[in-house]
Amino acid sequence: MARFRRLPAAVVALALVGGLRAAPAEAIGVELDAPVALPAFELEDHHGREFTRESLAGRWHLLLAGFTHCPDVCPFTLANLQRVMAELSLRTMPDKLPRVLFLAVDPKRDRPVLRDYVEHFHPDFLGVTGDEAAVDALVAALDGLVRRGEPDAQGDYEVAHSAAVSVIDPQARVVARLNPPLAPPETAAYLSRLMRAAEQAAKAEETKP
Amino acid sequence: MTRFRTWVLAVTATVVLAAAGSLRAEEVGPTDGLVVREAWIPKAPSVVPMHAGYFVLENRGARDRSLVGAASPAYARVEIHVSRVEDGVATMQALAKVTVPAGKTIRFAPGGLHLMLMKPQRDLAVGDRVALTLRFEDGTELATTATVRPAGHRHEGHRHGHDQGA
Repeated sequence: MARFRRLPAAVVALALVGGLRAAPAEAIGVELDAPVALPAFELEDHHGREFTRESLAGRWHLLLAGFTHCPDVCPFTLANLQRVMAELSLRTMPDKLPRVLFLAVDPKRDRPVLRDYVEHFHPDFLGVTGDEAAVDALVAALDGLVRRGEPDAQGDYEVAHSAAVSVIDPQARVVARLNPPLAPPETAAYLSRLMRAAEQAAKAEETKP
Repeated sequence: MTRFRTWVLAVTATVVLAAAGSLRAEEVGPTDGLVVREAWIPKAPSVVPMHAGYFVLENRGARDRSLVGAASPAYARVEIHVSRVEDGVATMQALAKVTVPAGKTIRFAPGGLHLMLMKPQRDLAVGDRVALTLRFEDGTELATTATVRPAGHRHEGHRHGHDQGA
């Protein structure tokens, strides 16, 4: 990936001056037309424990793909998720709170520091990683994308990755995506509505004759 | 002649004092209308060797100015980067320069333009202050101090009660 591809600076400056603040507000979240069941996968969490599709069962999850050498977007999103969770805990029973997953897509650099990295943002957040192929397969199943760049002279490289946060239901199905920048109160309200609607739909299904 | 020199000194002193009183320090001298403010660094996990730096850069002058580099004693290397999300994919690119047109303000902020601060030379805690120097194409250097703050959206932690959500 083109970490050091130089853009025409004037174009960038003009685009930023003209557009950054005037950009229309994107929807907080987008529900998928139909839930997408995740395939089986074999990863490990930041405690070194096995993490598979079955680990997702019975609980809502918010999954962010990212990498620990990402200085801007990933810490911003994780810090915002921390605030989303704080807001959500005011509206939701503790046993129904989603768990935040950080899918580390740069295992070579992420794995040694994953626990410290993830727990910095919240002790209940869980880092998940594995072989690059296994990580890429899960990202693809989430309809996302990872591209790892070529190392520069210092050995640093850039990783392009999907920016959205996947909302995964207790049946391990992707049901919605949250778009950055994840304004905490609005995102919490969105999630709270989404989870309540899903719960009511499930109850209605159960009581069908 | 002594009397004349005294008069000149007095006038000079008056002008300097007037300038100091009416203008903010950053507008005096070669920075010529360039103002940097609200510089901050989100607190990062201690295991992370790359931090981000954000600030507001205002060009009150009459000519366009280009930021071409930055340095800080707290980091081994500093680059100008831009993050962008295209088709849902977040990427980051190094920029050789960022031009601030005359009369315009550019925000370095999460998810867009930022300084990439590499290899912190010490552990930084929330509240720490870090010296930062911005370098412009014409040789101007603009010094500021960035404060380490919790990451994430601004002000969220300070809103109590008056935000009812969506």
